[in-house]
Amino acid sequence: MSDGLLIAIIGAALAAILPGIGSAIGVQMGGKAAAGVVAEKPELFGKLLILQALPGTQGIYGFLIAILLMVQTGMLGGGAAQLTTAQGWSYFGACMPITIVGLISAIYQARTAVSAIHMVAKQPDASAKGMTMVALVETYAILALLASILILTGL
Amino acid sequence: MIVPMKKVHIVALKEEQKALLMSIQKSGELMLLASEDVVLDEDAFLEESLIQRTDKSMRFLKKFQEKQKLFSNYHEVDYDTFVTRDPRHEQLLEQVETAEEQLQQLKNDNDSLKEAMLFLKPWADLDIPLDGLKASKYVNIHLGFIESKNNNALLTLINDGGGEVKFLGTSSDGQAVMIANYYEDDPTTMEQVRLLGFNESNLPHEPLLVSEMIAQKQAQLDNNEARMVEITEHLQNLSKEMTSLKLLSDQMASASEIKKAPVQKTLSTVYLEGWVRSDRQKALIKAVEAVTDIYDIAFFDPSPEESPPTVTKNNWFVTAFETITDMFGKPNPYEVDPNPMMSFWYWIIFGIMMADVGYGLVMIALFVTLVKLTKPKGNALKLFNVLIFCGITTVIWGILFGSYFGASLWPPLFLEPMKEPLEMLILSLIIGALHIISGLFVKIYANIRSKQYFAALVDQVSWILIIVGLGLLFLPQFKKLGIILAIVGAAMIVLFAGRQNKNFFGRLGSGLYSLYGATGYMSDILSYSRILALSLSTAVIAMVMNMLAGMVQGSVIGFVLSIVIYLVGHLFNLLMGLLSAFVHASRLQYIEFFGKFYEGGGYEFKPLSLQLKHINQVNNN
Repeated sequence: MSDGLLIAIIGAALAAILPGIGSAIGVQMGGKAAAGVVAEKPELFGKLLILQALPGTQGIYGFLIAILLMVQTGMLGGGAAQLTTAQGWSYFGACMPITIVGLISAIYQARTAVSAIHMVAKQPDASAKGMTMVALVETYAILALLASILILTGL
Repeated sequence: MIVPMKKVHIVALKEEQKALLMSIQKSGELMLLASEDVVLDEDAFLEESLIQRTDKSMRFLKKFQEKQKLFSNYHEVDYDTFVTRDPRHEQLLEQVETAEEQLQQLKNDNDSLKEAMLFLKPWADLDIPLDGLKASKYVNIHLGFIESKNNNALLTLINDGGGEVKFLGTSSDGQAVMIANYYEDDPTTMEQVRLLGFNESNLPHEPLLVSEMIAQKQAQLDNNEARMVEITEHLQNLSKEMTSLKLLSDQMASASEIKKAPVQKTLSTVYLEGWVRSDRQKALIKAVEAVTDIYDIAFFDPSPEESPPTVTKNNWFVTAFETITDMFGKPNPYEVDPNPMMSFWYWIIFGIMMADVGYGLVMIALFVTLVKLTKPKGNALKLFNVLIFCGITTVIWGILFGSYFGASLWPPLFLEPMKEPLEMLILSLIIGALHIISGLFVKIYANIRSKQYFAALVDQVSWILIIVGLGLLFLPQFKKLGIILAIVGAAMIVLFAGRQNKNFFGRLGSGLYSLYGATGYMSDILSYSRILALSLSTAVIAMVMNMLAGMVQGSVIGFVLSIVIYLVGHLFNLLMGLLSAFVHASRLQYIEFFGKFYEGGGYEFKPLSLQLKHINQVNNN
């Protein structure tokens, strides 16, 4: 295996690992807050589940980039390409936007989600507003994902 | 469209108040206005406590219901049945409550019996009735517990002192022992025994053996268990009449609405004030005429400082999407209804975000079945319909992008997002620009309706020119036209956006500042890049699932395993995709689209109507 391929694999692994950790932390935070509310108001379960699940998308985005990289370098289906070290680093770089932004935005999005969950506990009708506030944070994860996709497909 | 509302005043005779209110409630056309002058002379305490009791009993009774078919909870009653109070329903409620109390009582009883038996168990081998264990002339008797590791020490100690010790059963407190000492030695021996960690116990003084007492309690316990089985069976029978409780709860809720209705009174008349839809005035008059000939009814247009509730009336398609707007906030009654335009875009954008023929078909099948089985009402029904409609666009975009459960059975008719992400990004941004321009058109329409033609021209048309102009720059043959449009638009903004400003330079300055709003439009349009991200994420994960399933195929076990992967994987992807598409398609409406024209701040039209929480349908006859 060439050094380049190794570096690309590390990039893909990080893209799957870090946003996944962020999402796990985020969904956990939302789940804790939601469980407290559901204990008192079981009828809110559906609304709160949506809020809890929102910080879970970053993990999927990271996973998506890892898979795209594997497809691009031929690791999935077909023999892996022999990458030069420079090529390896550029694949690694392509993974970084979603790796870093995914990790951090998932946790911050979860904080907003927790606040929104508390808001919905008091005002069940405001769940769409809470959802929108939480989704606003995700914008930057989506932009990072786009940057990763565009760099990756440009290589 | 937003239905204009009328204010209505109704005067009728006091004797007919209840009949009048009930007739209006049945029609569900009038939203009563709470006024400060209204003094309620009846409170609905009785009804409300009944509601609470029935709801509590229903929750309790549910545990005893036989397993019933999923979604078979549909109940219809006739109007006459609905308004007639049946004493049997309240009897049923009382029966359930009594049974619940008895059951609880028996449970508590059993708990204390079990505790008592646990306490007596270590002493079961005592062969003297408990009241015979008193100190006699020469002997003092002690019952208690000691740690088992000190058994031998105790034995030596007591035997040395000339006493007797008997070891009985053990419990969590330790070894149960009975000690008998000669009364003169007793105080000194006991002091040493206590040093070994002896804890004296007090057993009840009964003329019975411990084993007899345990048997007695066991008999009582068995008896209680039998009673509990009986009561449980009784409750299972009662649970078959759950519908009666449901009816009672809804009846009481409706009756309490009538009692709490804000009615103003004189000596012999009652006066109602409220809102009615302007297209339903006749229905209201009919409801009043049904009970009395002696009445006065008058309709007024709302004065500008009054804010009537908002009612929107749209065709079957747009109606479903009203729920998306309502989740954000009702439009105020004087603005343009955003729903017709919004529904179209929501429908399209949701479809691109999912974009898979297979998922679309599953969505349609799934939600049509759910609607058929659960017969939802109101907002839940609307939401299901939105998802069914969006299933259709999901199929259409799936065909255009050539995606069938993540596999490409047929070549894409339009483009393949995974292979051509840049083209897909451009498509997303074009959709965004069109969406925003259509939002500006709604505002133009609103401005024209309120005769602010100039504002429409310089505040909205100017931006449309800039967006279209800058867009044309990307097409070489229209480059010149694009530059001209953009410059004209920008000039309009610089010259006129600050028109409230009297000072010419101040006006120019605030005009230039308005041009800075271009950054807002740019970030709005870039925000639509999420369409690409979400459609790619659905497509890539579907592809991964297919790949995983493909990898394990090859043997019989592998084939079965691959089917499991297909099912679980695609279901997961479908659900996550639905969540993301729902949230982000909504967000694009709320922030990017509504930001251009929507005011909001309306409130819901909640007429006096039958309160149906448990009963699904009341039929008029």
